Amino acid sequence: MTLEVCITVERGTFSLDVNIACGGVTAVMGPNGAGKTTLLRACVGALRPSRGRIVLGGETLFDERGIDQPPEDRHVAYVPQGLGLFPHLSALENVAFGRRRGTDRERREAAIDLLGELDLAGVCDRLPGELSGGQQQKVALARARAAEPRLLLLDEPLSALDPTARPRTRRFLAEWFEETQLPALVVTHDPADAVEFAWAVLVLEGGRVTQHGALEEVAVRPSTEFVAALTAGLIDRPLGSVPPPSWISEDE
Amino acid sequence: MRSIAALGAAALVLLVALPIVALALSVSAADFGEAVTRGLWEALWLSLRSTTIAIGGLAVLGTPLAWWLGRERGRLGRLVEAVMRLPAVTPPAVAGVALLTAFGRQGVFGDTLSTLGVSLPFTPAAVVVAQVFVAAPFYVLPLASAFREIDEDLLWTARSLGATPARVFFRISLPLAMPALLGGLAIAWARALGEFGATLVFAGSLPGVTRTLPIAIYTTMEGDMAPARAMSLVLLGFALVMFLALRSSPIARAFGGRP
Repeated sequence: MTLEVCITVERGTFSLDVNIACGGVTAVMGPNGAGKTTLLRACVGALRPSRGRIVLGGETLFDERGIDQPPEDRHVAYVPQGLGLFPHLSALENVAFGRRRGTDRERREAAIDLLGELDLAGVCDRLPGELSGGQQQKVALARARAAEPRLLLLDEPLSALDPTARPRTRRFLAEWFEETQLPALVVTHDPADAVEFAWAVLVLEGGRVTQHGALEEVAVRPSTEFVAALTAGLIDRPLGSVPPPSWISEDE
Repeated sequence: MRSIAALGAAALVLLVALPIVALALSVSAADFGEAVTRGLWEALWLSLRSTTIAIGGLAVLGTPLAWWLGRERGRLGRLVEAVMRLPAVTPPAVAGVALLTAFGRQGVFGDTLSTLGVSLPFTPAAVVVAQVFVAAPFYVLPLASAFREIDEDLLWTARSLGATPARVFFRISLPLAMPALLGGLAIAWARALGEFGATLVFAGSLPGVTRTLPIAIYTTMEGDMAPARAMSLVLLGFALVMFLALRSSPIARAFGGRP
């Protein structure tokens, strides 16, 4: 499934201009204030672009000429910075909340299954505040998946974890993406994330796309100093494990 | 220096505690009997009915307003918030005069109301209006700031998971604001129950019609202090019980909040 985003978002003096098509898992990188979160929020429907359109798998989510699907109809699961777990609902209730179909009982059963798959069956009744960072992370992912989305939007999914927990959760995320086979935009500051689970990298600087392409290509031919600094050292890493960005051949 | 501060602090605590203790100790069973003959039950019943209607109305009308104030960041929102804050700083007697000036028979909107067949002053409805007027800020403003403090990302996440705005409100926003909502209701109710000045000016002191318990205390006191003390103790007891009940965690949980 391909996501096409061709939008201009104006927020005060800041403007974001993006014209991209992507599939698979794309790491969205860039300095603070580059517009990464703004891009995600436009896709989820939390803010309205002033121009352009957003098309997901052939279905128009937004078009300046009068289409603006509400977030609940977009089937786009958003995991914001800080994960956005509902603090007054248990892990189970959080995941069941994401379930769109079925009776209350069916929702709960589906949530128990999803939590069980992530080895969280034992903490179903705990509130998010009573879970470890890694467990909260998994509950947020299980909830996103419960909604059966067509696109995942993750904003710095590893930032809340302490550094020692990151490599394990990063591998978990990679396997999770592989299993769900969903297209995703993942905002991250850490090139290691891109290496582990992204097929492509989208670099934003000052509200503009400065580079977008397969990880190897971006690492070998950085187009700006920021990208060069970001990817320095990545070339030494084994990139062979990263699948080729299949959407490139599909689109062109 | 420290001992002076401690002495001052102790004096303040005594200043608040002693009158309550003195009141509790000075009332005899005979005083209650006398208070009953002076219309204690009638006044208490009116107070309970009018404050229940006032607080119910405030919850129904004030909750959407608080939600809107919590989201609105523009100039209009700040203006409305300032307007809603006014009753908290308006002296009750002034509030009564203002209500009479607006909705009295000769008031600015008196003609409009009378063509609609409504006559407010010196009716039980006037008691309720005066109570809503003085209590509104204590409910609306804390609830608005509780709504404002909810992380917007939570609400967008909920929407992205397929929840309609109404479902987000009832499952996420309202439970998260529930401690502030119940706390606000408790304070507003206590304020409405104790309302005296605005009610006396706008609604008068007609036994069984507009004579609420605080006004009954005042009118009884002019003749005899003892039954007035008994009435005061009853009013204090009701205020404490209701206040504690609304702040208690079982009720908060029953409404979906986790205090």
